[in-house]
Amino acid sequence: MEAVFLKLVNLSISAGWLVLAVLALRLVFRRAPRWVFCLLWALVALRLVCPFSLESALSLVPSAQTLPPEILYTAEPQIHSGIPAINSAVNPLLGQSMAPAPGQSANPTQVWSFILSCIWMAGMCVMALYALVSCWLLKRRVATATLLRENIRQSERVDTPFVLGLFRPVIYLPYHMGEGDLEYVIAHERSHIRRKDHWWKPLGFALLTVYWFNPLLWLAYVLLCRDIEGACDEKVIREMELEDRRGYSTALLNCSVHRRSIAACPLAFGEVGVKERVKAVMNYKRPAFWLVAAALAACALAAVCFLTDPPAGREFSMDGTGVADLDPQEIVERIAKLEKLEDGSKLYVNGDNFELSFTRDFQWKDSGTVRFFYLRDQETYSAQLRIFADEKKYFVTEGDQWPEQDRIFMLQSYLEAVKYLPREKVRELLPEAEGYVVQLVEGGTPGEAGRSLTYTAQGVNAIDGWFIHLRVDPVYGGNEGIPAEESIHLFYGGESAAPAVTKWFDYTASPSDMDWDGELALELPQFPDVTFSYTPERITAQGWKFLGRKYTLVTGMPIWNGYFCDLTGDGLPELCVTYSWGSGMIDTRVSVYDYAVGNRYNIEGRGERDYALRYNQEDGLLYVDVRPYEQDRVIASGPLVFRDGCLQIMDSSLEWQDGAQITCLPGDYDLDRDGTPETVELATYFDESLRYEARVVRADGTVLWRDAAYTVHSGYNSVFLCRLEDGDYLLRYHPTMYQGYATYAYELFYLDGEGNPITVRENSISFDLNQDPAMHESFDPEAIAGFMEELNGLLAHSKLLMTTDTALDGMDPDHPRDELWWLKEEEFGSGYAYDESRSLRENLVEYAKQFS
Amino acid sequence: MDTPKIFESEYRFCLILWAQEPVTTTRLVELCREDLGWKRTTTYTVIKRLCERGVVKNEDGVVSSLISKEEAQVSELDELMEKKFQGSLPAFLAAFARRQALSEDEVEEIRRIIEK
Repeated sequence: MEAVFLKLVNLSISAGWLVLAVLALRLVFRRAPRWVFCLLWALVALRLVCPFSLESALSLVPSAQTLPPEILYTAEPQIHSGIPAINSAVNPLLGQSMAPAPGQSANPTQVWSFILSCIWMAGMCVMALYALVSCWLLKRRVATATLLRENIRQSERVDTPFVLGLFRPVIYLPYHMGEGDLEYVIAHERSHIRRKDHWWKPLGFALLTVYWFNPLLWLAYVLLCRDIEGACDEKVIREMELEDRRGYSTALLNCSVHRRSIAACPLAFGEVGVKERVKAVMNYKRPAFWLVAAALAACALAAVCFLTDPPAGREFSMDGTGVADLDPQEIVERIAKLEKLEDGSKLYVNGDNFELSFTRDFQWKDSGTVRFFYLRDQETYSAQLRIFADEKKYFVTEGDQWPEQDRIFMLQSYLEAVKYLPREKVRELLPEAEGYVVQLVEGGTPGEAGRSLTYTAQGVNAIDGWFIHLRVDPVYGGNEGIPAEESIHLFYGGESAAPAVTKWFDYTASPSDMDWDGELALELPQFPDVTFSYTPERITAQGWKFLGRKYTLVTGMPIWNGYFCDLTGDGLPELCVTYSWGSGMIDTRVSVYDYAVGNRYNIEGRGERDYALRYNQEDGLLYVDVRPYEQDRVIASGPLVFRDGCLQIMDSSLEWQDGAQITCLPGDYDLDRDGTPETVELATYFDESLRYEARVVRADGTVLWRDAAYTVHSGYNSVFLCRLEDGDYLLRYHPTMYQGYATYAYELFYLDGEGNPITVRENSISFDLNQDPAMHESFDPEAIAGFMEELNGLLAHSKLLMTTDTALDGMDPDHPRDELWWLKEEEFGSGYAYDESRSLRENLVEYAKQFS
Repeated sequence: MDTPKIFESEYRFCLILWAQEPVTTTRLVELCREDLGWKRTTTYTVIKRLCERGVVKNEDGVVSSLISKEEAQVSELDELMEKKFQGSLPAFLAAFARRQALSEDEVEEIRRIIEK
């Protein structure tokens, strides 16, 4: 909606210039026939209706796009009215009043854009409503009008004659009009109908409903109404003698009514500027041919000058005087448009280029030149981009044919490289320089050439590969402007793949700002209809996923900071928080909640380490700072990343708590039957081999029980948490198979006070899948089915804690079930096909048939 | 004024009614459409309004007038005299005579008729 409104505002401003021109022309061509003026108003309407326009050098419109599209959301709004005086008056005020306050999530321009668009919509609706209602009321009023003849009716409720109706226009007259008057009036209204005025006036009003915010257009409409009447009068009296004209004027006078409203529909006879009309009628003279011709020529000229947009010249303005003010995208697009190329990517540069001189502050010194190339009709052309900083403009020279070039780089990249070159660092390395000279270099690698820096648009950074190699040389005072040979080599390269970090709140530096009674709500476009809510003790999400209830994602004592960042690379951000937790010993931890999937990951070191998230301005990444428990010094720090399915801190010097990373299983389980729940955790180790350890931890933090699972075949293990009616259990399940021989076993147990397992149930079954009769030993489908039914019955009440067994790949951790993967594998069954509609038992029986 | 007011367009309707009454609403609708160019709904609305004002009556779809043409004309005349001649019959007659160029005798006769 805001974009549409913006386009309309721009259109109406362009039309406004045309209206001013029309006003001037109306003055100059006072004596021209009124229908010419109507033509001019038609031009205005054309401008308002047509969103497209041609460009022409003759255009007198100061600017086609007074409000650029980015004004809707930018932090630094500027208008391009095309008139420098207006620009310099308005832009500073705009900049000031629309400056965003630090920490605001939406720019004032966005807020205002929305508000103004809503007001516009409302105004439009009001106008439309007014028009429709008044028309309808009028129709009702004259319902009892009696037919005089043809399409002429009379009613006692008509004060002044008018025409009403779009498709079947009807002339409405009052009763008891004098004979003479009647004929003149009818002639006038008929003339309106012939001129199709009963279409033009409503059309004008329709345009006014859309563009109601432009006062010039109201003026235009009022004048349009006057000119329509004038044109109509002229048409009627064109052939009349003086006598008739007197009669006509009398009729005008008799029917005039003092109505000041601006009506949308009816073309009333006596409504508009009676005195002027009588004067015009009485003084009417057939206009001279040359006058009409001149007026029409003026119309055509107005059309050309004001319906077309100013051309994009070979010259365009510069926004500032320093490298930071470069807008590579815009420059490249303009040049492309100028040279009629597809897009800016067809513009190239190479080492055969000019040096660029800068002052110490990297403002342009003298004028800069960039030679660039482009291909057209398989011929290479070269042109130059001249940068005139003192005149604040760019100029593009005409292209000349040039020999084909070998090495080429993109012009846009070159401009970007210049724009983003790390000025601070260069000044640091060459502090004595009065100025700098920059030269594009072909070839070279960072590190091989003397002092080199790699950077991206974000600043000095590691890069993935370089686009542009620049050599910067200092210019010292005494050298007469000749650069010294103390080069720094700058390599501008691939954008760092830092995922965007959205800050929600951060009180680590200002805990007193935390509002314990307040609530911070947040909505993200990536999760529509979900509201995240923060209080210092809890972060909840409310949305469709949880059926409108508030679901707790994180609890803390308190929660210090919260950021959203896509670590997992799934395109949706995860919630990353720092929070404190514990009783007695309170440590600080980092937690990541992947809302899209519902997984939670923790980094913690209870009693040993404190972990805290920090947003690093320099590279835009979330860092985790590691400190020893309750101490201030940071012993390790690195970006938080998600690799191999778990959270990691990218710092090789980091020592983990036991080298592991802990994830907690949500829920309370009492596995030792002592009445207090324990915490169940999964620790992931990544030393030489990836292994997991499931732990049951008592409330005081000591480990009650642990079991490991390895990713090597011999170390496969699967542990589930089973909640039955009589209590919580651990379920260990080993579906082992080796070379076709399988032994499936499970044990259901709970723990004693020391953590020793107490088995309440166990079972096992052996069978093999070898089809070769010599190898085959046994396959009892009924027994296997019985076993699986027992097991799946327990699994139905269980949640998966950990598994490394590939046989259970793809198992849903919240609803675990073993469907026997080998039943579905074609190579294990000949002449057998798994049938989903059959039960496991039936499938097993079918499967067993191949062995007989 | 005892006679209810009849507006101009309604008067033209009444003219039709007086000429044709008693007449069914259907026929009336048709006549109004021909003569006055009224839509069906308009005719019904007017009938209803005139009924409410006591000018016509509608019994089972048959419409007839409650006020005769003469009554209506006289009422208009009275109103005209009140409004434009401040109720002065001589003034009215004088104006009328001026327009019509009547002889003295004719004027006397007319006066007698009116004052009856």
